[in-house]
Amino acid sequence: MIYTISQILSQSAHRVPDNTAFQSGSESITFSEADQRTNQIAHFLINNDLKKGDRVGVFLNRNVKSALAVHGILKAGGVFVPIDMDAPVERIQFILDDCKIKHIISEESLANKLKPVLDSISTEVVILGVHLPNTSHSFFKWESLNKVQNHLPDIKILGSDLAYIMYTSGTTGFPKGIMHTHYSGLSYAKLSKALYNISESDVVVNHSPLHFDMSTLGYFTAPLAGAKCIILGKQYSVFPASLSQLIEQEKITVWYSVPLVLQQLLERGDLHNRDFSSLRWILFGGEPFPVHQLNQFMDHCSNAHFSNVYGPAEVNQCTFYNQKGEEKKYESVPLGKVWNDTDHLILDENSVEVKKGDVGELMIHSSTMMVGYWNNQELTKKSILEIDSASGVKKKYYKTGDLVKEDKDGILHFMGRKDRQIKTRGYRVELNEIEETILRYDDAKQVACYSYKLKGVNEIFASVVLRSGALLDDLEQKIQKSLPKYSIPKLILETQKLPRTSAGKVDYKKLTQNIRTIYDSKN
Amino acid sequence: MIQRIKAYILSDIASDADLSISNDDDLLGSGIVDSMGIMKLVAFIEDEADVKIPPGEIVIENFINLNAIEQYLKTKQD
Repeated sequence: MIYTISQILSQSAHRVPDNTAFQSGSESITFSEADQRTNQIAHFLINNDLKKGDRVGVFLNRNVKSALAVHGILKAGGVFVPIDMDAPVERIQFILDDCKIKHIISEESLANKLKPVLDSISTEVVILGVHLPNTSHSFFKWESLNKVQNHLPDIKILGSDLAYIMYTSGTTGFPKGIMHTHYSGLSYAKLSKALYNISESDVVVNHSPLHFDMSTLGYFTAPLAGAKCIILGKQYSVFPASLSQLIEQEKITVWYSVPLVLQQLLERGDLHNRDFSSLRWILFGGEPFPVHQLNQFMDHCSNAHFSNVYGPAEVNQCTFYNQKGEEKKYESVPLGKVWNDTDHLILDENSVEVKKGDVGELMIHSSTMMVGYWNNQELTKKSILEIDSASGVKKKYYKTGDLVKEDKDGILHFMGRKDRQIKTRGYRVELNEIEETILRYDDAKQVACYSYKLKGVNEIFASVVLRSGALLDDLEQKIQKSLPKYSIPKLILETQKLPRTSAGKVDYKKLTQNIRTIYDSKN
Repeated sequence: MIQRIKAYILSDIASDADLSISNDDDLLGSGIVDSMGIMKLVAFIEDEADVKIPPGEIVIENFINLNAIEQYLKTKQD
């Protein structure tokens, strides 16, 4: 029986030693090789003074090395912290400092990006994979691992030990570190393996950067199942036609990404000339996927089941809505039902359960739940709801901040973010609802609605990416007819593309800043 | 041709005008060209070289660097 993420590779290496574990471009590694390599990484870290529970920065491209780094750190008893190399230097510094990172795993091709970060930190750091002259840190080439012993180090690791910290944007302006244990990470891997029936005959594709929790399917679940995980480099985001080529050539069976990537495949993936018959599961999540686009995509993959995956990074995944064939029943894809080993509550503003069918905030209790935010007890406390029980032991729920309603079939529907619900001129408006209304017209491919206070009044704005040939005027006329007056955007901006966060989600902050600039320059 | 493409990338696509690009520099990995940039580049090449580039040929191996673009255009003109 395994109870930690660090046991995954050893177990699969025993069971399917010669199967490919990870592949990226022309690089690939078998389970047996990966097991030994990660043992070497673990020994390397321990030999360089890593103590159990120490945080290790992962500053790597999406490639085979990144997977080895993750499992190597865990085997050493360390906690891996993915670093978004495209984030501003100050943000990276904040993270390194916040969780006191003394070890970093990187690679030569990222030397230029790592240098400004290292130049500005005062603590001495041990770095594997890069050599940077004229700095006070200790450097080791990746090849130096070859001389390190390759058996499993003797470190006692428990399910309750921390395994990884993922930083996301916090409302205070500082990133917050979501802490997951071996238990919560492995629970996700076991539950997702079972739900999607993933086995050693599967080829799972990872499209997500490591600092985005969707990567846990490729980095944890796939190796747990003995499946091959293909880790895609960033260039695939730019070339949908290469992505569709890869799905066909590598006979991908399990796909997982944000909806944006599927939208790009639809537009520029040359799908009419590609064979997607190998695809068994297409998982998408992170933001809503418009039904008409989903239905279009289904036409190209006759064998695939689709799964709308929902869950904030604090609980990883917690609901699923699976379907095969055109979605006809609902106007937007539901969140579905909570998955195994998970309980939920839907509460009103006074923390009282709403009547079935009414809208309230979703609370989740699950084995996949985080233990809290790194070094931030106050925020942890604020995000967790404790419910009394007969035993006297309180049951913990994560407050998702997402508004949902449950229909008579027990299916949950997304009704917007609590913080995306605004009040304008006395009316309560759901920004998501406006987005969905606009997307129902074929004129808009993508849309984002947001609010900005002008002269003390919350005004609504929208940015749209139009389908080629569509006119903004036409769309505006349609919107006038379908939305109540108070929720019609004050201004609709046409744009070539929406700003996105590095995880691929719409960056509402940037959009609001843009509006501020427009109005500031007017005054 | 390749010089004109390079000039276009520098003037219309890259965010940093002081950049220099050599013919084997990875246009994507180094972040010189993004998703939108590729679409602009394809439109420019179609105009300049008077060729039609079908969606299925807008793939990494044809556009990874200037050398690859040159090679690819040769096959189109043959």
